[in-house]
Amino acid sequence: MRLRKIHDWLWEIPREGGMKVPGRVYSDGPPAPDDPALAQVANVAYLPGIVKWSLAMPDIHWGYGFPIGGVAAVDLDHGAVSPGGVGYDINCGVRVLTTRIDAATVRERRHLVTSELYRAIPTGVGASAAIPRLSPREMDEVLSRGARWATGRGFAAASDDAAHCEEGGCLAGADPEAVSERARQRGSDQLGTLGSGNHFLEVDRVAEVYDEGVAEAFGLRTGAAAIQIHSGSRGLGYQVCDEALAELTPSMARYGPDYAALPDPQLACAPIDSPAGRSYLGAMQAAANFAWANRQVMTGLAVRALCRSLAISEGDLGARVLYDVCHNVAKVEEHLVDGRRRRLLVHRKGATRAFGPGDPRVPAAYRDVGQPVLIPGDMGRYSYVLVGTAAAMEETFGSSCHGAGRLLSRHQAMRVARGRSIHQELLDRGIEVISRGKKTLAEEMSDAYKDVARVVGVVAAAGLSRLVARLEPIGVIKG
Amino acid sequence: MNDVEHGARVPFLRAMGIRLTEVGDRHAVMEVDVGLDHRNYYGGAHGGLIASLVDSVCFFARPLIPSGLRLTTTSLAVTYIRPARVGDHLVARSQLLHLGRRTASLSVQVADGGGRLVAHGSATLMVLDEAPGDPAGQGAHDPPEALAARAPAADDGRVRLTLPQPYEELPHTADVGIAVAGATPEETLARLVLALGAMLSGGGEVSARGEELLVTAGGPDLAQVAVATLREVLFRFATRHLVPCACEARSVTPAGAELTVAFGPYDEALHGEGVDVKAVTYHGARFERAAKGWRAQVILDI
Repeated sequence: MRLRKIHDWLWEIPREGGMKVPGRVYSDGPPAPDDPALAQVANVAYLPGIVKWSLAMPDIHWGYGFPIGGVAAVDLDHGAVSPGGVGYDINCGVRVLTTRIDAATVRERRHLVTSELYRAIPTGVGASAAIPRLSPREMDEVLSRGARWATGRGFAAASDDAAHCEEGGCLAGADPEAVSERARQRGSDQLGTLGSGNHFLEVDRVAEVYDEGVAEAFGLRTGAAAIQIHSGSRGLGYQVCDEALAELTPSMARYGPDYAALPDPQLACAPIDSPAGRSYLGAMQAAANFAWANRQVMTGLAVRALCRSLAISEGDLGARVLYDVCHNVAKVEEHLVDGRRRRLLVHRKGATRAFGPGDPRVPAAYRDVGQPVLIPGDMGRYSYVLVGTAAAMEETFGSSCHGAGRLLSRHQAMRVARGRSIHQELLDRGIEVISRGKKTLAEEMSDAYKDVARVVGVVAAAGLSRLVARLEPIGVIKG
Repeated sequence: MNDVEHGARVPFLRAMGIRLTEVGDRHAVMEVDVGLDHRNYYGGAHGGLIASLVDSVCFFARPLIPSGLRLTTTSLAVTYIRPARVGDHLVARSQLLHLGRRTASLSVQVADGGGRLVAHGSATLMVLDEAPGDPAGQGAHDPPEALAARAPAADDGRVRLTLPQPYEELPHTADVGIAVAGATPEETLARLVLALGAMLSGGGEVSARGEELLVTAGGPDLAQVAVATLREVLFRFATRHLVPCACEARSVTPAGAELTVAFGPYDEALHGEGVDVKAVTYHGARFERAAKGWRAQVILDI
């Protein structure tokens, strides 16, 4: 793979073969030319209708078809929608809740707090029954309304929870009828459940504030407790993606030579304006709404559990949603491209929207400073809150990184963990972790992940986002 | 089977979350993270958990169970020194003091993560007789090609295979791949289905509760037929928590596959080491002729 340096933080993969645009990779050093993720960046550049660049954030790693950490914007009229460009866990995302209480209060009772959260929020393989199985009608409402379905049923931290979600916690255009019976079956008893793998719910301490002004606007105060939730659309979103790939993979060639020429079957896609493209988009938007409802239900459960374990009222806790971002999604957005406003479908797979100050799509409370960008790290170190910038609007369709990215495969992690008690190591550092899966702690230990500080360091240096605060875990529940 | 895998074969230990982590010439080590299910009436660790640790760890010094001896406990004494709490990591170490023709004597110390003594004890085990070989362990970790020739094949090419079957895990940073080999496409696909079963169950025993005939239309090639088949199997896990434990593939062609699959229920106590597979991907999916027979692989999203 040939790479050309643009500046210290950005490398370009020049156009060649069937690439319609160059690739661009944000990195703190020259990317390894044999990294298979780079080939995927080049493959994505084959997507019909792709605009400007096939982008890769600094946390890029090898995915299916699309790299994880990839951003691809396609023309809404002539472009292709790619389920692989969204990923299996549709609207996998993160939300952060601020609170009025001190982290020290939580730390004193961290075992009780963590146990109570673990009891309140179903985790792990096939976890279900946070709320009773949804009737078909309720499922339609969840798929149409997103976060507001849950706030309407009392699962809330504050009255402005949904307003503080990207897109108000609901994607317009969602088509519940496009969500298959099988996808509904997989999701009907999973609303309000965390799932497994890298999903987590944490109580954090705001450890350091880098930008006082922005932190104040975000409601972040050094030493305060915060809650962080990382989860997605559970089995429902997986099934939507799975069925779309199964439908599109064998039949791409019928959409023309550009589609036949795509170099990887997992890049399966369809014209946005084809029946298959429209159907996937409608189902994907509905699945995104399911994910927002899911995180919103867990928000309500977590707030109640925290109050119970600390014997305080919800008023004393003073929790509110700072923001909620999706990092696996494709969204219709307007962007300035070469001086012209264009309507694009922006695929972000393992990438976070990071709109700058003044953008009307940022909630009014943050519009002067920019959109909050939430970047989770691993359970043993820290996570970051950043803010979007004008540079991101120009260079990356308003996108930033999404997390640490794995360094070791799960197998390698198990080998590294052999003979160690990860649980005890975390306890020694003041972090209480309760997980359901016996292997989860080893697979998810800090050593298995890149240092997220390095990842956010690159997006900050490249100007795609600015650092606002660092959060450090006190109590973690995992699937 | 390596030495520590003997521990994973005891359902009771799996249910309790007790892991065998070390087997030595005169000692063994077992560990447990005290969880919510281990609590006693007052919320601390139940004394029975610690007694179970003391008893169980005695059996796994290398000259005992790992060497094929069959033994049973005839006396057990436990002295509790300090309480253990939920969240504690307990480590029990047995020391083989004497192994005679009829009995074995052992002492045990149980410490918490900080190295503080939680309990100590002693046990006398009676030697029953020598166990037969180790059928369950055969070939479970051999490379797939090594076993391709060993599979029983009926005259009509049909084979019914049950867990465990040989498979190989492929390295993938975020996810996991499985690869299998077989003499025919039918045997290869059946092994792929069971490799998925092994991933989901984590090697824990799966008891069949029913069979289902799966007919998958796939195409245009065998790899896509394999992905389509595994998607069907995984859907049953995702919605009904069923794990495949036996499989007979009747026909496998590029146009589709027909298989009978036996499923058993997922049980967290038995299958806690399993992987929460969420999707079967087309990425890197292969199904092709190999030097001997066939070889197939898929990457699973987890």
